[in-house]
Amino acid sequence: MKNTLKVERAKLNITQQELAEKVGVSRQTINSIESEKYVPSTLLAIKISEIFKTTVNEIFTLESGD
Amino acid sequence: MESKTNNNKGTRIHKHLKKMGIGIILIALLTGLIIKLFHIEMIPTQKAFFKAFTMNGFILGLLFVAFAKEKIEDEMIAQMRLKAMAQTFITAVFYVIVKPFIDLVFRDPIQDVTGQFLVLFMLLGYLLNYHSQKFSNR
Repeated sequence: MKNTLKVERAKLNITQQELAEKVGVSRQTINSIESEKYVPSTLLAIKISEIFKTTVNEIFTLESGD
Repeated sequence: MESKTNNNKGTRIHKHLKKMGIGIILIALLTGLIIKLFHIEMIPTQKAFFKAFTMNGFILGLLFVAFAKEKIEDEMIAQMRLKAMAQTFITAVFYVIVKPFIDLVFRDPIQDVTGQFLVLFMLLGYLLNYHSQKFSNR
């Protein structure tokens, strides 16, 4: 699963730590999501999309193998 | 408002118990080391008591360290814990199955794996697996 988290974060000019605090996870979790090592739960994906005032599909997109 | 991005709250031990666990491990190790190094004479009952004391202390300490809450206990940590537990359980099952054959190869008498040893093996395996996952996700 691909994501545009880094881009969205850059648009809002917030750090991984700030985003992590807003959604209630650790900075490592945000880093793992950005580097596509970890796929977040639906709950976390929705929370993230709400921070960026967009839809989950805008940030997270399926790849051919998913 | 409390975050709900952690789905696995019930099985964690309070984070302050991690330090206590390290303390218990150190006390158990030191006790065992002192008995071994200074060749302290003991009657078999005392020997059995101290063996149980050090081994059980070590296990209890490892349990506290292994399952103490992280600073931020989120869903990724919960997933890493689950993965580590599953992999350790499978490894332990294989170990129990394979051990008699290893004993045979080295011509040792076949011995059953004791509960204490198995628990120790699983706790150490879990800690190793969990921390290696944490390290790779840093």
